[in-house]
Amino acid sequence: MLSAQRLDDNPCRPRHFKPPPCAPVVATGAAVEFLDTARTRLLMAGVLFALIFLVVAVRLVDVVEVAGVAASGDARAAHHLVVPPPVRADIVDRNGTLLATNLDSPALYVDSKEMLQAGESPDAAAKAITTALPDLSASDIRSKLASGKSFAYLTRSLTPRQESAVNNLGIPGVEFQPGEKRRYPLGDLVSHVVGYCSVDNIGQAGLERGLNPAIKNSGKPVMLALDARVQFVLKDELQQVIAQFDAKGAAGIIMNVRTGEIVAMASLPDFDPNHPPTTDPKRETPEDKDRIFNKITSGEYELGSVFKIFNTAMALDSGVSTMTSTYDARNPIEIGRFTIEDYHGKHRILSVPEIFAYSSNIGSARMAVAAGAQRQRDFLSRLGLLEPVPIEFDKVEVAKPHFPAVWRQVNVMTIAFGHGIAVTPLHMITATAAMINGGILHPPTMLKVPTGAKVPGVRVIAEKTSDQIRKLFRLVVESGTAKQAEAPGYVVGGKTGTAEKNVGGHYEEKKLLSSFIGAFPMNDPQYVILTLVDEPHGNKESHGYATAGWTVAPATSRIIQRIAPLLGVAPVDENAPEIVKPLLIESLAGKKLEYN
Amino acid sequence: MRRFGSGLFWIAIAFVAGLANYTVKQMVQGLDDELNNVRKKTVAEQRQIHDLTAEWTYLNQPELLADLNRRYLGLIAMSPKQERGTIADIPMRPATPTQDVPLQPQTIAAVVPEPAAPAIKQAPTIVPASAAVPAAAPQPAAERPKPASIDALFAQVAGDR
Repeated sequence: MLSAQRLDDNPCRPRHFKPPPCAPVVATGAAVEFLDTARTRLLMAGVLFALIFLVVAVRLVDVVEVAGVAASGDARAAHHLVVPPPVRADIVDRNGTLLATNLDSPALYVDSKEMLQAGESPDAAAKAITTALPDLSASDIRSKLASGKSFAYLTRSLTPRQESAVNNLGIPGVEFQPGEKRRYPLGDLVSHVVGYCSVDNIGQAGLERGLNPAIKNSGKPVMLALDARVQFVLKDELQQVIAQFDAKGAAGIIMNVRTGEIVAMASLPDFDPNHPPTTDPKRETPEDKDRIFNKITSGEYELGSVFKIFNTAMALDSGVSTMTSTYDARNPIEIGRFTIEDYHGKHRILSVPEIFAYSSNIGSARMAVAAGAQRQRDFLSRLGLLEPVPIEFDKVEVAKPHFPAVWRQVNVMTIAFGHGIAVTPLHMITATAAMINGGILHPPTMLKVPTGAKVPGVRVIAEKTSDQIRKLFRLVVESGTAKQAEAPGYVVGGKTGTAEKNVGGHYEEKKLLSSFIGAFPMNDPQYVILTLVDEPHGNKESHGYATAGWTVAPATSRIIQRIAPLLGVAPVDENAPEIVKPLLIESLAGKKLEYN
Repeated sequence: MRRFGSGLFWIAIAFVAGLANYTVKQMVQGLDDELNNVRKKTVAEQRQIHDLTAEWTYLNQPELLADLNRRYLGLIAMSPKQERGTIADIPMRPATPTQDVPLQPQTIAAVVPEPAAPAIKQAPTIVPASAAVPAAAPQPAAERPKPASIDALFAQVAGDR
């Protein structure tokens, strides 16, 4: 090229044209004009190509850098492919055990037209299908298969195994329609806690109802504070109590006193959420109603002597009484048409711990009168006993307490020992947890509290008062009405309550509601248990008694022995001085409590 | 001739590039299909796992397990007396096992609080059983005593090294 240029510096020279070596090039007017035109055209073509390449380059940048970034989000989503989120999220217990889940349960239908066109015999097909699904009626299936219609349901909600069995038959025209069904693998174990769903996947009861929006929208499993194993123990023991004492029903609840987590909650009789009883008012039987009813959150009871916990705490915390104060319990109190008497009557002057241990109604009433109506009402209000409990259940399932609108002297006296005020067992356990955990009231929760999370709470009594209540709790189990609640190694404490049920405005002596609220270990309380049994009947082993000390107290002992290892509570030597000493009541040291 | 050569060169380059492009594209498409298949399988398996989890939970209902236990095993809950001490109380295996093996049974005996407690009465038998395991010299398997506890088993395994 260089040599050619030397010969001729015209770059636009056609290749085949070679100028004669020595002849000078004469630039005539026509040639100059021609060359100019050629140059201009070349320039234009160059610019055009440059433009085209520019467009290509710009588009390339756009695809790779701009649109690519937006598209890569989708790509990542596609890579992270999982099962499409179910209609309702799973509910699991604190250990991840499945409590409620949606399972694929397709419906089976037949396109009879297609089947008949394929030359399939309806008789043979019906036989094959009923072999795979024995629950179906052969004649019904046969008539549907032979109908010639293009759509007829054969059955709904197949299990995966049934689906595969029918699929393996390979009958043309027999198809599946995708569908999901809510299932509760643990059945009636968690009935009242989890609740159940309607066919169109709307929560109808329990947490399925209370947490309906979260379950529908989160897509992530909802983890409960509940422990299915503890729940089983609680239910198992309550069932035994019902069987043993021929009772109408029973209920129990176990709460972590530091976090307010409810680790078990049972109400008997219960139901299987996979087949919930009807709530249609026309077809609902009283038994159905009883089974659906959650005694823990919806039941309001005059719980009786267990309320003395709050009465005593109020008197001690306000300074109205001390552990050595004494009250006259020699004679019944007559007020209006009421007479307040003692069940274990001592007919003498009793100290505060004695009133608590003997469960003296007279002593408690006098203590409450000394404190006054305003103080009593304020105290109960501070414990949340005059409001519905804040919890994750739907508000229709959380009862509002019943208490007198006007707080008269007689109300002050009866409320002291748990009559004339009706609260739910959930109220009772929440407030009791605050009495023994150092004085902090934590709102109860059905959801697991992550370890290390800050738990909301308000101080309701002084730490010193809480220490005193712990001592009183221990006293009742060590030498009071609840000796049978003792569980070796777990330093149990508690308070019994045996209330006569208020039926139609008067108290029935034979219809009892026996309850026991216990906590363990009393040297450092971690869990509190409330059990109650509805209308128990005394038997031979209980010497005819149906009181709390003979019914639910022994059950609580068994529950504690079974759940403590599950909850990681290590047993201690309850006779060791470092356990005994902080729980000792000095004024009673050396004395013996006697029962008549 | 040189020009012709350079033309051929560029044609060859274009051909090779085209071929490479085609092959890569085919490969990518193949991988894409494979990925899609794996994804589909993953989804199917996740669904299956989900169903099986539900079945597993159903079969592991505490009530059912308790019943099976009553019928076939007869296991009972541990009593608090058997539950003295924690995992933390069990000494760690020594760094140089051969030297420390005879010491281990003594450490156990020291941890046991009440030799009189019925559950722990077997404790003394642990001592001779594992003490009989020679520290360094391995024995034929048939002659060796059956380890009486986890620690004795550790000691025995440590002796084998």
